[in-house]
Amino acid sequence: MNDSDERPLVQATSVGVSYGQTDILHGVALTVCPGAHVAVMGRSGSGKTTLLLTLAGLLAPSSGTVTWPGLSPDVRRRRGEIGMIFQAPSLMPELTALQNTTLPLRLRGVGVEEARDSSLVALAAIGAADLADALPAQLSGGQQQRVAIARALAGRHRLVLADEPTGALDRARARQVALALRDAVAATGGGLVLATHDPALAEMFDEHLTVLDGDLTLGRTA
Amino acid sequence: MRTLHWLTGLTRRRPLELLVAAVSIALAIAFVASLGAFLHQSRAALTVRATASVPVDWQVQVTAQGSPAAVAGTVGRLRDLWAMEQVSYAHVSSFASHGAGGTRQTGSGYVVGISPSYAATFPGELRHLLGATSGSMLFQQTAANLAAAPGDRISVRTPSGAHPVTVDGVVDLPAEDSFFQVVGLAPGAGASAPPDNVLLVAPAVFAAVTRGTTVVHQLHVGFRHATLPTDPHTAALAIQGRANHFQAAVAGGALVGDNLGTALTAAGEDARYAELLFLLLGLPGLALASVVAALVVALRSDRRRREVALLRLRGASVADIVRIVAGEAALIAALGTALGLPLALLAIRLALPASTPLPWGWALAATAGGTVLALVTQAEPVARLACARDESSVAAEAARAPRKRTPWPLRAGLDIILLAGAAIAFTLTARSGYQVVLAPEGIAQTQVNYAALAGPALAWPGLALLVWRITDAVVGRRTGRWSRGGPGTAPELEAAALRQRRRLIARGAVGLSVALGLAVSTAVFTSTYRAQSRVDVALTVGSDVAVVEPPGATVGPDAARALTRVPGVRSVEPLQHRFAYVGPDLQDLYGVQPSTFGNVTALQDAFVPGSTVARTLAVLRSTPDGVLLSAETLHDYQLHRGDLIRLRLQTGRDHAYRAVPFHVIGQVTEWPTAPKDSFIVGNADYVARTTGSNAVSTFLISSGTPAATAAALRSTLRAAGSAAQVRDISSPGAAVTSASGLASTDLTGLSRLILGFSVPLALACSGLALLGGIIERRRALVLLAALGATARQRGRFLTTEARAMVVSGMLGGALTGTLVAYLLVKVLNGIFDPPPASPSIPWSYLMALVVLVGTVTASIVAGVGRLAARAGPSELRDL
Repeated sequence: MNDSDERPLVQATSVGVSYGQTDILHGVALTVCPGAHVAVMGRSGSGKTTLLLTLAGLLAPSSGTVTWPGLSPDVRRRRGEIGMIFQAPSLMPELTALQNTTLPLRLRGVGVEEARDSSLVALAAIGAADLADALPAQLSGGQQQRVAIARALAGRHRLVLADEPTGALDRARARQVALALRDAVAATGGGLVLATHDPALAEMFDEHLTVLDGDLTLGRTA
Repeated sequence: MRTLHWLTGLTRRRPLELLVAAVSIALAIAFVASLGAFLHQSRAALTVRATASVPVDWQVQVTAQGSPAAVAGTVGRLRDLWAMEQVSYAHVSSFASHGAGGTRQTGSGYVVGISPSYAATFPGELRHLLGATSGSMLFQQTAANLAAAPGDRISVRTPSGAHPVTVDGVVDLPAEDSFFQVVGLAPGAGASAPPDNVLLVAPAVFAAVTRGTTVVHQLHVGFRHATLPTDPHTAALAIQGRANHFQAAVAGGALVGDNLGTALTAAGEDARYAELLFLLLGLPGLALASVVAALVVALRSDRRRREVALLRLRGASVADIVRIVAGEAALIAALGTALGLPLALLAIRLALPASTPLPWGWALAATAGGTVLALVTQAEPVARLACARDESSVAAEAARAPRKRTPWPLRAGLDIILLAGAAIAFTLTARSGYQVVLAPEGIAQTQVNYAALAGPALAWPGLALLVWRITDAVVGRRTGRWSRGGPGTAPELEAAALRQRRRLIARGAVGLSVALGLAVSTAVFTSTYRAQSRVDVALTVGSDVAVVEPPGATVGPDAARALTRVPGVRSVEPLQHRFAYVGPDLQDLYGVQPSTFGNVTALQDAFVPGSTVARTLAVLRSTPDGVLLSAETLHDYQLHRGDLIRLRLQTGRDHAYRAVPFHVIGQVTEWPTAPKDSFIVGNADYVARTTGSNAVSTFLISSGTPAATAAALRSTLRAAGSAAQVRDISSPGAAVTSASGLASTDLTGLSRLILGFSVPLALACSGLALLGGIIERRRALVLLAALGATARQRGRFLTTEARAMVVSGMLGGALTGTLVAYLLVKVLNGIFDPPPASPSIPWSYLMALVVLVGTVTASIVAGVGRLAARAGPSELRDL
């Protein structure tokens, strides 16, 4: 590992986020290093999604700072280094599963063939190879979410932020997908932050954090 | 109550959506109402022009069973009577004059007795040329025949002997045909050539000189026209009804020569063209306005479906949904009417002649149409959902993805069927000589050959569907292989997205192509009409400027030399005008110098069917005794090229008619200064040699500044003591109406209306279709941003779609506009005079339109696309 690999992928310091008059997060401090697998738990509306969006740089904090020392300083390139899996299946409706999976790679300048091969591998990893040519409208919610996860896997991102990615899956499938996600991120030496309701899923991760009324605490709440 | 809550919520929460929907309905209402105003105005203008063109409304002829006094009494009781003059006609053997050159005698003629007040009462019947304005006045052609001038004595020869009369003045009879009409025959059935020899005298003189001859008494009647209906058809029927009533009242004592009714009937025929223009240009515009309204509603159709589904799932009945949809439609229609009618008034004020009213009938019809349009466009997206029977059907319908299947009209090949039908209909119309407005003999009312409209009527939807088919096919085959891209671009994915969205793209392209097609066809039609109007004016005047010598003048071609020295004159061409008998028909004969005549006037190849102007003039030059004849003369007298024809021409020496041999060299349909019916064109030198007179009637002058040159010529001629009149193409008097009677102001108003509405409608089509696409893709754009796509990368997904839609729409619009313009120019051939050889293309307008649509489209894509991809917390959380 070189020096840059040792640096944290993302570092949040005293981060507060407000939507209008409502404070969602306040005083959050978090550091995600390469190879770290972090599970974030919390009730609905506790601020998990907001935390992930802030860590992804998609949402600007109202107070505090978020920095990405281990990622590219260039915003555009950094976006490509961060993979985001959203709570709802977020696919381009007019592209097939395979095309959706290749999309971030192609946007980063990866060639057509290479992007296609990586995407097929990622789809196979989560058991969705047979869905490659289907349009999102032809897939169930769970199948769409698996394609969205494959998209994050295929991207070989240094930091993957997954917002309850298995919510639409049954327990067995959720476990399989979460494992595939963890292992794929581990294989790249990247960091993974996963928000979930499911304690069993959280058990698969090294670190556990809980968002409670906008505050982030180490460990799981009762 | 639920409906009220819904509408209140809609007004409070989504006022902008409501306003945009209302604006689309307002456009449709304003378009219909202003087109209605055009129809009303053009009909009223035709009625006014028709009534103004009639010098005497009725010529009531007293029959053998009636007495002038009794008939006059009945006429005096007629409604709206304004004036009545007694006129007496007597047919006489001849007129004669005795001068230095000997005795000159004419053929038979008429002595007409009129009161001294007649010329003031009916000023359109007499035009004073020389001498006194009352007394014994000689018709100008008779004066020329007799070489008589004011102060000369002539004699009127009747069976009872010769009666001397002193000529007090010389007049022209502008409405000679109707003045000497055969009263009592159906219009067109009793046409007879007006007499060449006429003497107008006071009643006392009339009684003296016509002793022993048969006298016909007429009462010339004028009505007040203000109370006539504005529609020429209705006005004609009213006047004809009045004539019938009068004839019944006098019980055979008089017959009515209904000049006013005839003019109004002809105007009714002209009004048909206005109706045709409304049908051919207005209806596609209305369809387009409906498309725009549907596009506006489609912008929020998905959300409305979800909302209505939610209402159904929460217990709303079908009746509740119907009330809500009807309430929304009523609200939108009310707002649309409140905006649309003032917009119509504004459009009328800007596009149509001043004081054109907005007829209340059309305002009501437009409002009703707008309401129906609002109802249909509001109900259509949710109709199936509202009628779904159970919850699962409601949920399934709400979640239904947009249909991807090819629409049934394309599967059934409806575009091909419609275009084939249009081609067949057009071919049949062409075979009938493009006779769209018919005036069958024996039927007073004109008829429109609506079958002739089938060509354009089928072509519009056929072309729209064809644009859909082609766009769908081309976009469906896009792979992105040939797209220019670079690192970070994904042309194959952009193409894949395009393929999936091809139905939406095709829909937008169809709307845009119809809008542009409407604008292009209207612009081409109007441009062609204007070009032909200019040709018509130039034909009427003869050239840029014309110096018209007074009747009887003997100015020779050498006078041209003096005219060339007047400032502004480029070249001068003398034109002879004679009268020549072809058999019993008196026709105008024009003598020209074939080698130079083309220098001063724009002759078109269409004037010489089957040949070109250059070739025809060359043949005329090489055939000194050659003549060009009208199609009617060639047909009626069974004449062909090379045939010998003897025309009787008046000699310059004794003014007697003698036969002169000519050879037919071809056909001519139009000629500068020539009348619209039959006339003859020959070599000036040959005419001068055979008649012994080289007198020129008109000097045609080319000039770059017609008005200034005309002014300079007037002053020069006045100084030289010439009585010649000077006309130029820019003078108001030179303005002419089309062959259909529609003034150019009418068509200008109509084209302003259509172009004025079609441009915002075209922009609305492309803009709304793109806007709808962007709104629909907002989530995808936010997702692209979240996946790391730059603004440029996101923009490529939008611009690819916009480009496909705009390029298809523009090409489709060009195809549609060109074809429809061609059909319009051909089918509405009767409006043009002379018929155009080819349509005129207003390139600058079309280029401006392309640039405008391109700029607006690019602005929407750049501006709205950027805004749409701006992700706030709520958009990101929705991903």
